[in-house]
Amino acid sequence: MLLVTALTLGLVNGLALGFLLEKSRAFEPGMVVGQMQLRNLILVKVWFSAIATALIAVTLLHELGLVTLHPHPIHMAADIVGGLLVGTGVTLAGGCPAMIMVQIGAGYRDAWFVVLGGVAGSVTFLAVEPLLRPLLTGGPGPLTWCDILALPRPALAVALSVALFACIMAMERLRPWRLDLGPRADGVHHGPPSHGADPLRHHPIPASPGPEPHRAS
Amino acid sequence: MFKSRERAWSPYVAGVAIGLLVIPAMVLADTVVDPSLGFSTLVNGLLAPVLPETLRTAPSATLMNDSGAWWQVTLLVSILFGALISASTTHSRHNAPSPIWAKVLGTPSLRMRAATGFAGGFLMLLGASLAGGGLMGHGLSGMAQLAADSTIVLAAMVAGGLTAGRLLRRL
Repeated sequence: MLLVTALTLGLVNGLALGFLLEKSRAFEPGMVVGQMQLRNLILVKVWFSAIATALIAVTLLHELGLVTLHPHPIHMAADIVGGLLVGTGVTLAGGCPAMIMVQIGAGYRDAWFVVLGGVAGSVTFLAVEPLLRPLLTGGPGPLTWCDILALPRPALAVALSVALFACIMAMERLRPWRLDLGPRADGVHHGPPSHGADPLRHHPIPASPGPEPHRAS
Repeated sequence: MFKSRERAWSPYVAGVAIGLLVIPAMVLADTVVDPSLGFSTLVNGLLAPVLPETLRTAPSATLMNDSGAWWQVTLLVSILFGALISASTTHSRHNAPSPIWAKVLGTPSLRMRAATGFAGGFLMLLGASLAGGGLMGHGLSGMAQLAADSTIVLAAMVAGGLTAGRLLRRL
């Protein structure tokens, strides 16, 4: 594909992604940290909805022969160590790289520190990559669950989507999403802190909203 | 709930729309949505002139020639402007760090936030380079392809995230 076409497509897709992430509020550090402390479920609700949709869409397009799949090859040690680092980093940073970009767009200037850390992390990887080569080679190759379980892709996709949908329904029953927004729609509740063995059982409804939570005009 | 001037959309509406964004990437650009990859590509590209020869020719620094990688770079940068448009139209731009940081870090100090933010960014991009993708690359695009690799990375990301969540002060 021509570079210009790639850049234009990336631009349109990025604008839409930034807009939607901002609207979903899942980019807010309050939502991300709250999710990792299991106090706030908005991030997982957005994410499960996105996976279920993408899964059905990609499976349909694949069945129609319109897309080529690019699953990554399995490198067990690199996957586990890398994943642990990403998870820890996302919590401390308050978002994944896409959300950090949204935070900068939404005015959070402290997100630039995360960008600086990311630059250092990317360059460090270049420096240590030769040492890590053994972790990034070999392995069983790019397997999908269809290969491992010997099941047709559409059946697996439908099963997983139904499971995700059931999780979403259960979470919404347990805790309607509006309760997690907070008075400023940033996932931060200003009332008394809720303590207890099961944080999900508490529904800290904002007693006195400061600025109005939904400023629809 | 769906109005562009509403500050918060239903997570389900926003989630479904975000899920649909993997389609143009895969059909038209034959790539996946992975802003972490875009970040590393951009950093490697911008710093190439000042990096020593050994780093400039490292295997992951050669992604630059791939139009798919440039697609990721444009995607990453334009996310910022998409968010700027959305936040500006609802007057919800922020001018101070999120109040969550003072609560979970136990101090309103900007230095503390800077240090944890820097550490978070460092671990996130180092880990994403090692695992071959970040939260969106594995958690969304990879899972949509039913990739076993992405499931392993995702499980590790969730474990790391929940553990780090326990290290921060609970509200």
